[in-house]
Amino acid sequence: MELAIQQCGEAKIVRPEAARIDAAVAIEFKDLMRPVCAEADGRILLDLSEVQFIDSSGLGAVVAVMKMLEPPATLELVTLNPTVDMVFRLTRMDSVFRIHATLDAALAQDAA
Amino acid sequence: MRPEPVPALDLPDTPAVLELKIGVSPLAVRHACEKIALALRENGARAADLNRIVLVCAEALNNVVEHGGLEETSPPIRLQLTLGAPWHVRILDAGRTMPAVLLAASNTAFTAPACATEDLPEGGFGWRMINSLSDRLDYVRHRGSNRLEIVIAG
Repeated sequence: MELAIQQCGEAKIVRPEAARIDAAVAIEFKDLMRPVCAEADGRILLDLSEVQFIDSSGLGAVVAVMKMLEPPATLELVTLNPTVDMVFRLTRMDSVFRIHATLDAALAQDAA
Repeated sequence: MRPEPVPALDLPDTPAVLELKIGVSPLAVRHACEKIALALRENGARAADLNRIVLVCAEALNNVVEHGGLEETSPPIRLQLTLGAPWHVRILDAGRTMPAVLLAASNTAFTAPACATEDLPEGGFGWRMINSLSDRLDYVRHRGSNRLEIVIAG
């Protein structure tokens, strides 16, 4: 897995270049996100537009990434495909994250 | 030790059954899920059913890989899936007995977490996801192996 990282104003857009965040890559994903989180002081927009599938291990990894952040840094999710969206809704983790339909929508809102 | 032959699913109205032997590793589970998705698509499964079935299979298989106490060299996990609604999934493995407490806990409904961020759970989702997505779930320990039967009505 690779992460495409792009600074956009005060937000950092992080796009995992992987079709799946599953048990086979959950630890790798966390390890890749650790340095990104360590230096973050604003919004991280996790762009999941390439991710077609996430399982409970992947979900746990996304939660773990959020827990790596120190305020005022935040983690927000962008562009969840229907399968990924189903996992967040089913587990009620959709209530924990700010979720945006598109990057434009995410960038149009401020961090408040 | 030779694995016992797997009896065919007794479902006369469902013509096709996908049968897979899956190695005990997360990558083997991933490949199996891709095969399952392909077979479901080819057999006309609706997207919503396909997503549920693949997710249930992924969670159940990963549970075996992570908690079954098996080695990568252990006999493969066996999966059977009827390729038509109602969708029946049967998973057989030679791993440890599933703790009863885990099965009981899988009935707990998901609720929106009310805790601080640092206390959010990073695991414990798998069984409850399987339970939430299934219409029937049966687990049997039989002659040293586990047999999980899941029905998704579709």
